Amino acid sequence: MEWKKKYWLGAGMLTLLSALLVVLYSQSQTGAAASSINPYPTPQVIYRPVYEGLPAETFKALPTFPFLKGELTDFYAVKADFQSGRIPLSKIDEDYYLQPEFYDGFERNGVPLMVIYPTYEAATYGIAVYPSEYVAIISSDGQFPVDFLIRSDWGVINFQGIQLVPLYSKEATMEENSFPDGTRNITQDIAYVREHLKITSIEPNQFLLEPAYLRYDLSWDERGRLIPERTTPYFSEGWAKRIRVIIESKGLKAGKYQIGVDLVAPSDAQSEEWSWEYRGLYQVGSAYSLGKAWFNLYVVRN
Amino acid sequence: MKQRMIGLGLFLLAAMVVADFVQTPVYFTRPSTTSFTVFTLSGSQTSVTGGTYPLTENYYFNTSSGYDTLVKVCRTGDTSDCMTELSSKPAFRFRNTGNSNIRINMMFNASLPSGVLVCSNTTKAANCGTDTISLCSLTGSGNVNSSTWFFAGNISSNTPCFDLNASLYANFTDMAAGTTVVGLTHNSTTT
Repeated sequence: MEWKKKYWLGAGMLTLLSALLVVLYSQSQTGAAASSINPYPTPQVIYRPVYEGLPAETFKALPTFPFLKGELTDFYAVKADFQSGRIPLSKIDEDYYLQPEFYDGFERNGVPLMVIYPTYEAATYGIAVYPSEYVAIISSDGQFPVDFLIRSDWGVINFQGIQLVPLYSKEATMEENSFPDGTRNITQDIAYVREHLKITSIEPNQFLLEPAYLRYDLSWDERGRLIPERTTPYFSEGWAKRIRVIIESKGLKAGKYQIGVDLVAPSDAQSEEWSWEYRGLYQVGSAYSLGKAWFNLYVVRN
Repeated sequence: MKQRMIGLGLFLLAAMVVADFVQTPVYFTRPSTTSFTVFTLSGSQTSVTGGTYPLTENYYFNTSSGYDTLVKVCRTGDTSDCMTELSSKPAFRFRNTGNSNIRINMMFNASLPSGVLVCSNTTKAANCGTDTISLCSLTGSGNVNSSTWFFAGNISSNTPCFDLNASLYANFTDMAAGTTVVGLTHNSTTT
């Protein structure tokens, strides 16, 4: 990919720059006590950081940490470019978004929980949607895609069944972003929006989010009872999913709108199947509501 | 010749798919995360091994006489000393792992049986706000029922204020013998 080549060249230049910075830093810190270690001292950093207390097996089911060439990774550069909006999620494959470091809260919230997990309680439910808010600017009728990520939250031990459905709200307020005119609130006619700004597809729309803490060696006794053996902190390979939403605008008047995607229970048949397969480890992922859509797209029609 | 025709067909198909989408700028200023986690009382890590406790917990309140005061929840599979063992442990811990503040509410999805009242009190870490329910009042702000949302508290997204603990208690007054199962719905809204 072209942008990968770009990172490779950029990484080479940054190597020189960071080497210079390290020298200057060392000189200015002569005689000072050792300070905390920055896990990402240079952009060309190598491997996944080592987290004290988390065995390497924690990440065994995940794709190999992405490498650009040899021991150099573009992972942190890709992450930064996604967060600043320079690379769309559609360009980023699972080698990146299945790594927990792709999400900002991992070092702050995930690692401490996984290293010292409570003994009397467990994270039985937890979901994260990222990014949960976009703004789209439409100049003509047609279809366009928007992607977001959904994952089990840190420390969740269960298999969570999810179904995604469109949700239209009469009123909505952006939390982190704003329309080009600086406003954040909208009030809309749901019937009108439903007719002229449709979510035509959500893929996948029914799936299982796998545990983000434990590895289970599942077995069943002679009476068919599930015997889960937890072994070690472990990210299941299905702990995060990328979702693609297709939106169709047809005859939409100029204005500002909001459409959303919400979580509901999987179909009864599917839930029954997963319940049977995972028994006490299965949880309906819609058990806890948010009071609004989990994913929100704000649309400006010029 | 046949291979060429297949190749052309695939090309046309690809071109049609691309042409389906209009060019639409989609952006965010800051990639927001909406997320929260709910911790429930569970068997200890060692007792879960081997399946001693179900991992997705059901809770129960138990009375032998039909008259009891502030009975704490126990877990499925617990023995009678669970209330002592779990006396200082909240039934739920809500953790805000996103980047927006949220408020937590609870409500039963069906009426409680006659003679039963349930209440909750909630706590947060020190210096994390006073918007919790400090008193498990059975008929006041601590009452948890099936008609109005019980407000548990607001949670910020900053450590250590990202946790809200909720304990549950039941009072029994001449409750008829038998078992009633109700669901407890949790709702979070952004603040």
